[in-house]
Amino acid sequence: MQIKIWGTRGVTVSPGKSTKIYGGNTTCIQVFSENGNELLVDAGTGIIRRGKEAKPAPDKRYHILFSHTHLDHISGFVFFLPIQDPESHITIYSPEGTEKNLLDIFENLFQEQYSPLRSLKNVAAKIDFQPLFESEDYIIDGFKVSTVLTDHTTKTLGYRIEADEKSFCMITDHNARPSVYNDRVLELCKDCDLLMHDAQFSDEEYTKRLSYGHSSISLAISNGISANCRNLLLFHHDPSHEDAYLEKVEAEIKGKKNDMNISIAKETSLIEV
Amino acid sequence: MKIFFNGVRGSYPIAYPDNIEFGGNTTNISILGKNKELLMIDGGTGIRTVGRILMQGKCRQGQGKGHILITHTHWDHILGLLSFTPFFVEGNVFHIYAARTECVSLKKIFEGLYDKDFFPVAFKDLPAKIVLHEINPGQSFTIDDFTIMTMQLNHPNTTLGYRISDGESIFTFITDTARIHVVPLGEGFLSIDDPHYNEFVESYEKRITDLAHKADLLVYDTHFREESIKGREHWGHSTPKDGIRIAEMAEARQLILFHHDPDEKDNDTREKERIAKDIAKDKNFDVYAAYEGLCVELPSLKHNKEELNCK
Repeated sequence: MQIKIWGTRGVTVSPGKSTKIYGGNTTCIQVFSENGNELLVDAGTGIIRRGKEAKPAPDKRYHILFSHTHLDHISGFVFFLPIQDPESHITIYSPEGTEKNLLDIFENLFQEQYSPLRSLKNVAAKIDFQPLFESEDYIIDGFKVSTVLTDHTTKTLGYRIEADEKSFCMITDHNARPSVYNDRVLELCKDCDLLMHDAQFSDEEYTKRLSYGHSSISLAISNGISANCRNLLLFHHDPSHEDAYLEKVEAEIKGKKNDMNISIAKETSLIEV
Repeated sequence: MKIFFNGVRGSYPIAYPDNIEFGGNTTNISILGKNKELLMIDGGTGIRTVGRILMQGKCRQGQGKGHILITHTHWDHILGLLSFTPFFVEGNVFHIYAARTECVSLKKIFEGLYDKDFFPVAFKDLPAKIVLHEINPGQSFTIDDFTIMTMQLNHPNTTLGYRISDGESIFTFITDTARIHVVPLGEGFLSIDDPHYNEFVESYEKRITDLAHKADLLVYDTHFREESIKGREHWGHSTPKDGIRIAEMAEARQLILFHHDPDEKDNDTREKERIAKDIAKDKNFDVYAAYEGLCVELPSLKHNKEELNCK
């Protein structure tokens, strides 16, 4: 299993020369299995680049898991090129039980006051919706996908994705303070090969923003240790965190003795799980 | 009047290494008038920069105020408002102006932007006071020392072009807009096979020329180049050639190319600028491509790289 990182940033894009190394596009991850199947997780602006630069999914069949529908996780979908191709078939998976159903949320995204496409009906691709429940297991395109509800400001799912006897967990957006939610997150991530975890804030920022539904870098690392993960990737970088800051943090982390391999996620990197 | 370009990209923001020179943030302009009053245009992702600077001044204590003119409410012109920090401080007051539309109120559009499935804070719960003003296309109004004139541009729904004067200089901002003689796109525009379409084009061109008449600076939608507009004339955008034609008819003093296609790499934008300069070499005005961080002083036309200072 491999993962390709198309967007590392949280909240909003942060383009410019000071974010060149770690990237400025919002969340999007592509997961490949050895037999060529692929899943996408989230459709921040990173998915636009996936649509343009990577080859189409096998048979133009796309499966996109959404952690939740806040705009930094879905706004790229409007400009994802495969939606303009009548031969594409896209299934959208997202947490069930939000006030509006998924179709209505995506209809709103394409409403004429916001989008030149004027309506989801004008999207050429075939699109269907599949709500996912918390603490359930699913098989999607040959991947085993398990879900957990995270501690965020809206109903948000963390995912464990397994294929080729490897496991990859993606936990965003999540406040990893002690809670029943975090206990379940740790259980889901237990012994995984790679954990990608929300690490938006520095410790100081975190104490001032407890209600934002995000973790500090320290909390993300402690979750990685508690869950006994082999590799940890910190991501959902705050838009104000420039390369110089993230490089310093990464050097400090790598300077300490860790039982697992910890890195800071960089846009466009391809990782063998 | 000083004009700061904080976001110059069209359609959607991009953060690629190939677009660093011109910048990847979507539309936002901030304007300081002769008495330092602050006016902004659009809430694309470039507005986050302004928010950061404003938070070093009065906005931090909740004593800030400002005005935002919105051309239209497509994502690339409003998404940045969600990360405009002064909206999250109680006491700040912001006035937002946008076109009145037939089918949906401005309030509904903003409630939709801050819908709880899209964003954690509802529009009505924003700590700052936000006052919405619906503008009829063609309406003129004043904000502090600025006099503002408007017209409906050729773009889906109702998009406003603005002419802004502070009594000393004139700044005209025209984005997003398509070639009116090729395709009508605006809400309520005549259809191209209407027997009166030619007259409509004539009156539209008179309005757009009036809006930019003798402007010290005209900013014009040049999303496309001549080769990239082919087959996309109905997308609602124009080319440098179109901007040069309007600037010449309107006798503008300077033209800035704006709303760069996200598919355009820095080299392409530089080439677009070079071609535009070549076409305009015998005209009475200069042509430049907008880039993030550009500051233009009017009426002197001085170009700087300068940061907005609102302390």
